[in-house]
Amino acid sequence: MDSVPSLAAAAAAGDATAVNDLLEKVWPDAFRIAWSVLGERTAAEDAAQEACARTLTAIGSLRTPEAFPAWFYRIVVNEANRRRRTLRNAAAAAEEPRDTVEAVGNEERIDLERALHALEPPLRVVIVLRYYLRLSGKEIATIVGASAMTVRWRLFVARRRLRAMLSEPTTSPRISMHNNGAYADEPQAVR
Amino acid sequence: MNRKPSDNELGSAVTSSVCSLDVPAFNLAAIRARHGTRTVHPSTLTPRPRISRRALVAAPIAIAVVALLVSMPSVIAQVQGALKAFAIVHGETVPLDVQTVTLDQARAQMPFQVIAPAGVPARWAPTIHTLSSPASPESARLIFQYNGSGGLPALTIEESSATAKGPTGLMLSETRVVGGAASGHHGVAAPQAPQMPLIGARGLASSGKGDYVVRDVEVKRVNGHTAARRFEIHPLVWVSHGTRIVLAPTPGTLTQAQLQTIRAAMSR
Repeated sequence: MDSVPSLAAAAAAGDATAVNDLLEKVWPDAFRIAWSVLGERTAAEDAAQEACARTLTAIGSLRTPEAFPAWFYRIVVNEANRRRRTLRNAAAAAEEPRDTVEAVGNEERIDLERALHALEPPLRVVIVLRYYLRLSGKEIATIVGASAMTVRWRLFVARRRLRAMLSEPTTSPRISMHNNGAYADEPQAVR
Repeated sequence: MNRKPSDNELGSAVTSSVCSLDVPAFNLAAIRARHGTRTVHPSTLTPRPRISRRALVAAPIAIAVVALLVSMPSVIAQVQGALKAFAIVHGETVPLDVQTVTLDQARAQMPFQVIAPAGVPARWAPTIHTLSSPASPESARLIFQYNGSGGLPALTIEESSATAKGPTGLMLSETRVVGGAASGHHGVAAPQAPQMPLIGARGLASSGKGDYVVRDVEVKRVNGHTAARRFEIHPLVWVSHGTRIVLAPTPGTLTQAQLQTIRAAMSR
């Protein structure tokens, strides 16, 4: 099977078959990234499909086939974030948002999937991009639209929370998250 | 798991967990259907480039807001546009008189040598606007505006006198009316106030390094949803026959070779 860059090059040149093959090849990644943002299958599938549709629209403007993965992942993350904002707004209309995300309960053993679920989306997505796709901090920063420093910090917090949740329940940290999605002690990019 | 996992163990566990997710079947038909019916959502296609505050403050350039109303692709061909222009004088916006003209009319009216665009892709046709102010007639400018597919701006060429000492900035605001004649409220946009200048201060652009134009494009759809996209454009600026020429392409529309071809053709 052709590599992603070669398929991307052919797709950008207008090869319809290559476009189909390319999307099929990256579909699992699209779904998993969308899931990492949304934490829910149906919404993730919806966001991943929409991201693929947008890719169909924009693939002709792709100049560097090697850059396709990061370009595509960013479309997926953006679409998933957009979907998350919509869902959050709908949920906010129904109930008051919580300022503090509860640490996972008192079970002695918590499997990783539950631990991942317990992470806030900004933490979960960087963990998935780092470990599942094995991207660098800089690549992740580009994809999620944050500074490299912020990504490093989110990775640090996410690892710390996962470790805590996967070890002794009593060590689970509680990290305050403001309503705007930034963490209380998260470094802010200098603007 | 009663001990804290190492980083490697954590990574392996995350990978394993994510890979174990049951991925739904790839549904090309559903994606194609979305592609066929979806409307433009540029904010999710291209990330907004980060522009440092320093660059924004230091560069006495202008930025543009082109407020576009774009409807469904099927009616894009019926887009009608109206351009408004404002000069930036001591930080204040001063409305300019905008006239849509022919090339011959522009040559007769402009106080500098009008250089007809050349080397532009043959399928593109410009709309020509003169921008002038009664208070400062020597600072008149000429805009050649090319729209690409979908009605979005693809290339803007600005010409002005290389020696004029007029207003230092320019803002363009384009209101788009889509869907044919403006009957009722369907597809008609409220006029947009200019927000950012387009093409910058005289003299600076010829300094070469660091010159750029930021163009915000706001797309309003008939369902009322608004999406925004920001382009950072590094224009080509040069002086030819006493005319200062600013070539500002929207990213992705022209290659560097094409831009150099235009520059060479307009410098003869």
